[in-house]
Amino acid sequence: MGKDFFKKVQEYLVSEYPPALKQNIQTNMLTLDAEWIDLFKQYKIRISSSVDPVSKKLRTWKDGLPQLDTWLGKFFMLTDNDYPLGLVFTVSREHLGQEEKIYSYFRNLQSLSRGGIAVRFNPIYPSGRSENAYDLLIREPDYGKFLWKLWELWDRDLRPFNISPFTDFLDPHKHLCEFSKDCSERFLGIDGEGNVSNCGRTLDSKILFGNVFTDSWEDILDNEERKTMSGRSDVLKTTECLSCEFWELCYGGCPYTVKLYTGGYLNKSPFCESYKYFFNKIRNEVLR
Amino acid sequence: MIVFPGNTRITTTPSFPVAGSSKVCVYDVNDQATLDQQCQFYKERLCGIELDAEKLERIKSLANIRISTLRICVSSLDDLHYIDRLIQDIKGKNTAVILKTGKDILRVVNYLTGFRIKILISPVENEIFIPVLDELIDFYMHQTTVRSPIEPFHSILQTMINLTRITLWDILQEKPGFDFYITGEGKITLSKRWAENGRYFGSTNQSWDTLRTDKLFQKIQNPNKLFFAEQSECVFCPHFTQCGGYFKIFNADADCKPWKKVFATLQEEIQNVRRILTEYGKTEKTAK
Repeated sequence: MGKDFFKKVQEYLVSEYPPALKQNIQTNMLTLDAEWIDLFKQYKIRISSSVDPVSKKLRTWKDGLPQLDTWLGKFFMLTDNDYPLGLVFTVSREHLGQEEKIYSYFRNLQSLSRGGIAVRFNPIYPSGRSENAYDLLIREPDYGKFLWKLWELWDRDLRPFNISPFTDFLDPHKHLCEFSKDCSERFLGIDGEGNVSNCGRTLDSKILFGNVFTDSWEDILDNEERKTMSGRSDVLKTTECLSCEFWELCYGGCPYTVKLYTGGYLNKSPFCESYKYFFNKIRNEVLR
Repeated sequence: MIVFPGNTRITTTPSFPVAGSSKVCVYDVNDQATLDQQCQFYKERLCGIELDAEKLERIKSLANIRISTLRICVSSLDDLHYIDRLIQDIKGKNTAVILKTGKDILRVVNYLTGFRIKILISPVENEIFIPVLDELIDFYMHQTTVRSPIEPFHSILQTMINLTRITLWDILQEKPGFDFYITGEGKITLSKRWAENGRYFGSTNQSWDTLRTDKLFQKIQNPNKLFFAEQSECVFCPHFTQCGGYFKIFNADADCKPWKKVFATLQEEIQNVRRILTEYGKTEKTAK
């Protein structure tokens, strides 16, 4: 997306949806420059970016060299400007056992930002760049163990910055999309070509409900796949998740991840054992 | 002749008077006449006097001296009798004793803290303090007669509890852009430690505008950023928020393990207190 197109979109949005509209942008920041930052500032757009300071495998240039150097330069441009920023870290198998190193990096990174940097931890799933990276997928319940170790470090430090999913678990009114029971009722993903899907993740995998240029909104919202997602929690509550004591914390997890791992939506999260491990730890060692 | 901006703190000798409105600390004060003269010259700008304990013999009285901090360097147990003679004057001021010896350290510390005199040990002098660090931290944490801070433990503990962004750089008066140190030869750097390592920004016969464009000066304005940019191992360290890379700024291989242990001990003590308070809270609830 070029700057001129971006400006046109923003001008349209400002004229059609005055102040209430909030915008976030997910970017690898590699082509970010001062002009982009000014534009983001002007339209009050919150930036989120993925980073992996530990593993050099996934985030590389075409020649195989890590992107971290370039990413850091862009990151400094934002923090020097006191620009609010959120980060995403994707947990893969090679991160297991490196929890303290990873946590410390993000904790230390806070010293460069006046406003604090929230960090979201997601498990890797077999899609996009990681589609065939089976050696990096996490076995159950290792992701739960990773989360628990991360929690211990965060809690020991008196929770100095926002870590998702922890801050979401702690706030009963704030559920992350993947633990929200009804994500398909509350989110839509639309790409630059007008394709409509459930969210950014499903867009990546071309699970499409329709297209804004060729289909009516009625047809798009009436899409069969979307309806299956909408009814998912009702099915799970009486099947795989029946009598699960942590139902209201997870609601079966992200439907898209489930589809990737099982081929369908009406199954529980592939990280079910991990979340159960984590919630049990919290119950037995924090809330005891 | 250089004139520093008002929002700076300059440490200098009597032979290099500092013009302008910056705060000034004076070291190498050897007698009453020099002390009086420095107080008269700097008035409200004078924020500290540093002198060796044995020089106190040449000081008749400190009673009428108006300075915010008096720093006395103590090199042996015998030095305490110099302090003892002026103890009534000293204890009424914001006095810090800079320890230059590890010998008889608990006796020295016990004596001084009994008079509520602050203690400062310099992590730079590792060979002196490493053998006694364990004893000293234990004394600071558990000796009930300690009534004044032992630095840098005290400030580090505070930052851990209050989650403030103060590091060893701030505690040891090496805050880039704020602290400046003028050597006996008129060279300008960040602190005595930087002078001892042969790192300078310039000299007193330069202008401020020239000094502030010095490469080294520019480079260290944000040490944390420097460590991230270089992808130093420090940015993965759980104690970077306390030390800010203080030990490795000159030498990436410098051994900071003994100080990591100190930070870990302080962190553990906080956890112990938290545990006790949590348990106490539960007992209270049960009792009610």
